[in-house]
This record gives sequence, C-alpha cells and structure tokens, in this order.
Amino acid sequence: MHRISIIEDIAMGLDYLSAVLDGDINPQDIVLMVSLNGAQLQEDKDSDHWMYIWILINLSPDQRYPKYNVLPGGFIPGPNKPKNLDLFLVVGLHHLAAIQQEELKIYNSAQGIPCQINPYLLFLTANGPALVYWDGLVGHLVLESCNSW
Amino acid sequence: MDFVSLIKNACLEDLITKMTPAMLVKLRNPVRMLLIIENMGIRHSIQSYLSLKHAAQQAYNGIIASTWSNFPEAHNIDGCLSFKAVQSFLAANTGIDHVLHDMCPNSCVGFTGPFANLENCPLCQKSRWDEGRLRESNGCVKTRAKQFLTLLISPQLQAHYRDLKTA
Repeated sequence: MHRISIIEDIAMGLDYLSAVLDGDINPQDIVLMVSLNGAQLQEDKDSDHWMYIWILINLSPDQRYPKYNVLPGGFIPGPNKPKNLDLFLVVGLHHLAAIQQEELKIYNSAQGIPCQINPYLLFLTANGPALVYWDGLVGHLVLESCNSW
Repeated sequence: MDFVSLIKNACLEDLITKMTPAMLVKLRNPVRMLLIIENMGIRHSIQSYLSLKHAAQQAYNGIIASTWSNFPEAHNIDGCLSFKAVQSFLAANTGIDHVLHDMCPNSCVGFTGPFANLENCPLCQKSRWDEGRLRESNGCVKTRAKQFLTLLISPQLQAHYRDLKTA
C-alpha cells in the first residue's frame, strides 16, 4: 500500500519543486523568503515600528532561523501604521529585482571561487494583519502565512 | 500598476534605491578574500561593540575610554575606536550598505517611486520637510522630517558567502 509522505520542509513542497523542475531555480541560486512584521519597541511608549527580514531557504531548517543567518531588510519607523506599505518596500524589492536581472557576483570562500548567482524569491510572508500588504504587490509569487510553517 | 512596471524593468542604476556609483562598483566587484583583522585594538573594539549590542552607546564609550586610560602603552591601542568609528569600520569592511529615503512624518507614505518628487504627503498633506525650520527660514532651509532605512540584500548575501562559517 502506498503511503502519502509527510511534507516536512519547504524543499518538499510543490511551490519549490515545481520552480526547480521548471528550471527557475538552479543549484547555485539563493532561494529567499521575506517576512514582514510590526513590533512595539518600548513597553510603555507608543513606539511601533515595522521591519522586514530575508530568510535563506537554501540552508537546512535548523540553520535557517538563527540570528546570524537572518538578514535584515529594512526598518520603517512609526508610531503610525504605514498607510501605503508598497512605497516603503519598493526600495528593497526593486533592488532584489535589479540583481535578478543582472545576476549577482559573489565570492564563495568555502569553494574559493567567484561565481554568479540568481536570487529567487519563493515566499512572501507576514503575520496575520500584515499579510494583506503583500497581496497583489508582486502578482506571480506565492502567498503564504508564516503561521502555516 | 506603477510598481509592477518599476519592478519589472528594475536595474541597479535606477535612482529609486539611491545607490551611489561607489556602491555599485563595490557590488559588481566583490572582495575576493576573507576578512582578517590583525590589529588587536580594532578587534577589541569590535568584540566590545558586539557584546554591548543591547546596552547604551555610553557603555561602549565608557569601556573604550577605560581601555585608553588604563592601557595607554598597550600594543595597538590606537586601534580602539569610538562608537561611530567602529560602526563605519564594520560597514566599510563588510560592505553592507544601507539607504535612507524620506517618508511622511505620519508614516502614510514613503517618498519613493512615483512619489519621489512630492513635497507633501498625498494622503495627509503634511510636508516632507521639518515644518518648524521651514517656517523659520521662510522656506529656505529644508531638513528632512523623517526617513526610513533599507538594508540592501545583495551586499549582505555577498558578505554571507565571503565568510567561511556561513558560505
């Protein structure tokens, strides 16, 4: 009898695998996930603040989330909520789009060779309320909530 | 729709990310060796800086001042850097750049892309400049009211691959 295998990681999901099969992700590429959230910095003060981070999906799941492997993307000061977040995120995303066009030159010191890589943005994530901001921002990409991981 | 076409036709030279020519040269010609710091003063500065990341800047300055006054003759003591200097040392040597953009003081919008040249926020009409100083100087002195920070991803990826532990 066949058993349905359990999906344990992003790399087992169809979103990732179909991109690999389609040739969109090559072995040397970097696969990224971006996550957005708001935070109150000081307990007794109106100090809301918005930030987004880049997560490297290439790494194994146990290596993916320690602080030194999570790359900060940007900070948007509050205390008010950004009304049009696109205008803030466009800077970071535009830069990513630009290096996707051009390919990014990288020196890999583990292999001791310079190489060119193409960053691939796999998931746009956020916690509940912030998720709506991604919707419709970059149409062809997949939308997932971080709560589902 | 403006955004879709902006992102579709993105290129590094676009003014939207405000990358300087020097930043572009650095990005296209990544450093091809490990970062090795031999100066013990600089290493002491960086280690103190990283250990005190949750403390006030004063704590860092106090430790460096104490090092200076107690070990004036120490080898490489001139490598002990001030708070600002250690920050810019790290930025220059890791190559990680940030860019700042103006934003509405009420956080409605960022003055980027289609709004890059506006003087007032299209939603709340508040000026992008510090209104007090603008009024005092009859509209001559334009200081930014508020800015937001973006850390560019590609220098961070380059730095990530450059280090043996994270490559």
